Amino acid sequence: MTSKKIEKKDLHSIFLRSMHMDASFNYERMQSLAFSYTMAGVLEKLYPDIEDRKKATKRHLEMFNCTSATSPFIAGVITSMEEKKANDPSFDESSINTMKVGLMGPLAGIGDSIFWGSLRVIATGIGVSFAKQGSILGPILFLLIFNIPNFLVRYFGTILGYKAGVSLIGNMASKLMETITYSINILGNVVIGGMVASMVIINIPLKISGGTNAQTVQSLLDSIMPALLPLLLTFFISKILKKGVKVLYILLGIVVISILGAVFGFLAV
Amino acid sequence: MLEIIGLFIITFIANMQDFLGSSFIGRPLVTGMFVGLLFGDVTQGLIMGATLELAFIGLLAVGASIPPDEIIGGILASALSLKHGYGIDIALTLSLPISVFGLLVKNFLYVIVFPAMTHKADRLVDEGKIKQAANMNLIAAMTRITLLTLVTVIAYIVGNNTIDFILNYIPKALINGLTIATNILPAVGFAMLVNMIFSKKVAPFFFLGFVCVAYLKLDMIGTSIVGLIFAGIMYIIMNEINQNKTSSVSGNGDEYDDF
Repeated sequence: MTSKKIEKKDLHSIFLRSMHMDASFNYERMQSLAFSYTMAGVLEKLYPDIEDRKKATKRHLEMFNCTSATSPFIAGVITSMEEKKANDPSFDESSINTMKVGLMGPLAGIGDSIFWGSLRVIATGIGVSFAKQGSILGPILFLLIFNIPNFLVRYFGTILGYKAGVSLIGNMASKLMETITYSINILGNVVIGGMVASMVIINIPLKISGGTNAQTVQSLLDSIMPALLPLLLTFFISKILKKGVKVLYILLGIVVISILGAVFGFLAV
Repeated sequence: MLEIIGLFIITFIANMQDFLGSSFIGRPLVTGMFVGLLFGDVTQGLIMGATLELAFIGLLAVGASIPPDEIIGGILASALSLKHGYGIDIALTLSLPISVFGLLVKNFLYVIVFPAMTHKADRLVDEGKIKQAANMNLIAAMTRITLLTLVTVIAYIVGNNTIDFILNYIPKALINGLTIATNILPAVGFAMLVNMIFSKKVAPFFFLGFVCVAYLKLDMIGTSIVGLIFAGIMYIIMNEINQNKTSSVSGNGDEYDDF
């Protein structure tokens, strides 16, 4: 069997394709379309067999959510794992998505605070102070201060991510790999648990009794357990998905209930 | 006519920012300069852009929340101001309805159209049309760019009163309903992830992450650090167990020497 090798130009393809990371954002699976697009070129090379490529593409159509600038690093790590999988069919494929989820949390946290938090504020501060005096340096400096680090992190993130991935899975006995996969799975589950609590929001503003400062259903639920409904809903959807209910129906159901909730006031933003 | 074509080009390129490495080319600070160029007063455009940038700052999308659209709001406000000589306050007030309308269009795309396109991509992969599935990303992106550009340019042509008029006819409940859906919908994506990576063996760690955020109010970095620590602890424990297993098999009970 000939081994399939990732070359520099494949990593460049990851870097270029990941430019679209925020372009097709949606609330169901967030950046999944963009992530699968990022991986598409590499997957085509790694999996000549259509059935293998179908499976790999499906993996990357699952939910993905991370800061745009730090996402190429994840794509780099994932590329090294797909390379491993393509050359070694016994490689545990579930570890690929587990790794993706495990990296998503920390890199989104770091990326948001560095790029959306600090860098944007610095770039805007300097840019605005020049532009206010009518100087063309304003927009130019604004774009340079933000984008030089942005594109450096994107480019070297892709390369470093790939290298880190290769060294992690490369020289490793299979028994150790199992332990590492388990540890990554733990991190992934912590991240998902945290994201369910922070990113799914359900608010029932109905009042329980009369009066101006009456308790609402939501405050009652919060006193039982914060983010209780998001947790229950996530596991409920997980259950009905396993039973074969189509995602599209779930999506429509949520939209309809949300609009009805806004009409009759049993749901609020 | 030239104004409209120019505005179309500026808006189109500005809306491509998320297509080009999330590079902020659509921020009011940048578009103000180009709108100024279009109306023959770059200096005024720059000043306008800077003021609008400050007005929109803090409205930037962090995580999953989407603020009123600063790309089309910024362009429209500076165009109106430069054309009619409005002050910044009036221009900003006039651009608010279109920013809200832009948000409505975005929410419609993010809640209904793009998820449907993702499902379409799922189906295309099943049918073996993998190239087309990958291209759904481009179709989604171009849909958004084109739609938001058209909304801005049309709003500029028909004038602000018309937009206000249309907004009045869109039921408030629909606008709120879509926003509520944006908060609930991520549960679907998470449920799919849960089906893939959640199991009894790791269940406690899922709830650990949940508690970190729900009760301890940690942010994502803090929660991830807690996750890394527990992953490290379990790695050490599992490694230890594995080594004991191998030594008890191959070492002929060496570990009993201590007794």
